[in-house]
Amino acid sequence: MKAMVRKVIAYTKVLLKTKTAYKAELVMSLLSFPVYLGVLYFLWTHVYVQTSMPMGFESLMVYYSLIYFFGAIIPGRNIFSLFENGIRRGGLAAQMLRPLNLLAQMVSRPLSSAVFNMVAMLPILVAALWFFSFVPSIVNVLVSAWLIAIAFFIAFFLFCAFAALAFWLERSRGLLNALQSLVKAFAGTIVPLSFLPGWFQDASVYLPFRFMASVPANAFLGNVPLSEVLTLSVIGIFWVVVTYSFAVWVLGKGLKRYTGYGV
Amino acid sequence: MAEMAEYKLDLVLRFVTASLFIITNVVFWGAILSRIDNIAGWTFPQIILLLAFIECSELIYYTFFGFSRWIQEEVISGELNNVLTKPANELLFMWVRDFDPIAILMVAPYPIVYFTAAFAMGVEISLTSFLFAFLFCFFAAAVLAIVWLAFESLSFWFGRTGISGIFSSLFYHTYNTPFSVFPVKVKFFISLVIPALFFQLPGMVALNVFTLTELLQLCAALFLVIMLWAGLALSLWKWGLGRYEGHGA
Repeated sequence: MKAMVRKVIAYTKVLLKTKTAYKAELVMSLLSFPVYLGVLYFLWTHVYVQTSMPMGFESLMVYYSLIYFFGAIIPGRNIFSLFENGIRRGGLAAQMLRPLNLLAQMVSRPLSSAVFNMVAMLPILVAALWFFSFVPSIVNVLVSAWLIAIAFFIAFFLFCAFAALAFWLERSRGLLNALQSLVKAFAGTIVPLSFLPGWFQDASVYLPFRFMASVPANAFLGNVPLSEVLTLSVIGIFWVVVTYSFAVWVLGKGLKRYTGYGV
Repeated sequence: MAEMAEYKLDLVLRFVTASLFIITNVVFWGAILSRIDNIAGWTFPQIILLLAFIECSELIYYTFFGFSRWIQEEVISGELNNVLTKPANELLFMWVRDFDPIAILMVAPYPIVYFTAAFAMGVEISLTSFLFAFLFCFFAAAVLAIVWLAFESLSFWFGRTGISGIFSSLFYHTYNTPFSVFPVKVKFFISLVIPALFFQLPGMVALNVFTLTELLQLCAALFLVIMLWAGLALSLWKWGLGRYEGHGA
């Protein structure tokens, strides 16, 4: 296990170096962040002058800042595309020859992206927090970071499992879009879940998606009492186990099919 | 077409996805407009109609003008060489080559579901307004293609710059938010630098937001913007093409 972790870290470092070579992507992500916030700022300003919402305006803007920041850390479309392309174009065969478990290799990519994006976007997040006069407590930051780590693995295993369905579907873009729409709606990335009808909030409790945005963002904002953190952690870890098992199962079945094709 | 038809399940999923995507948008606007009557003058059904026409413009863009999004890749990979060997105008060739009827299948569910929802919510527009607005969708799609061409042509100098990515990001963050929520300076930026406004015009036209005089004035102003972009795009393309040949030699 230790050896595998060491290999993953080493591979992540290599990928991180590759990542820093693509400065254009960095500029693009950095510019998108304030644009995204700006559009929502003007939009919600119109709403808040007319009515009150379950969350204050500044808190909502901080919430959206966090959603964007977390979105850059948590795996999604990229890992799906990478995996799906590997299956369809045969790149997976080369990866299987490497002395590292396939999922462990796969996790290095989003891990390097997460580290890179986190460092690059942190100044903008800090500027946004300053602009909206929000000072988080250290405890809330740590709790949020812990919940993000859980969310990272839930998202990673979930997207890998769905991407692995490409072993059967050959093209699974539709599946990716469907999954992303579900994640967007139930994770609270479009609007905070507290803005939505009760039945929608109830449904989100039984799904893993809220861990990918709403839960860590609310923890950061101090809306999650410390007494609930343990419960949330247990539920989060439960979802990590479920998504991991699902990913391993789908991957195992699919790889048998894949080698069958190769022979 | 035949290749895509092989992946029937994926096609079905795309239709399901369209509905899910629309539900997420409806969730967003519903969360806002369940508490207030309108946002910057736009009611919930009107926003749904606006989104329907935006999707229409996108459908037309992907079907008829999709070529403009891949120029950077063709320049970088050298695939443009194949285009240059053809005895036809390069842009014309790429335009015809990349005509993508399958895009109609892929994107059509989006406007259809939106229109159905808008009409079910009680939006009423005359057939003339609808057709006139539909014409503006072609106009919007063509403008987007021209602006893409300008940004993608920069790859002749800078390779994969990400500038078109920045444009894309600006465009996709702003084009489906009602134009009237923005302050004047932002509106000016959105009209001139990114053609997000063009994508909202069909919806506005359908809902008769403008008087005839206002519409004529707006068209004149937009015509100038388009000419400016078309001049810039074609100059960059021609100039860059000369440079590309230089590289190839």
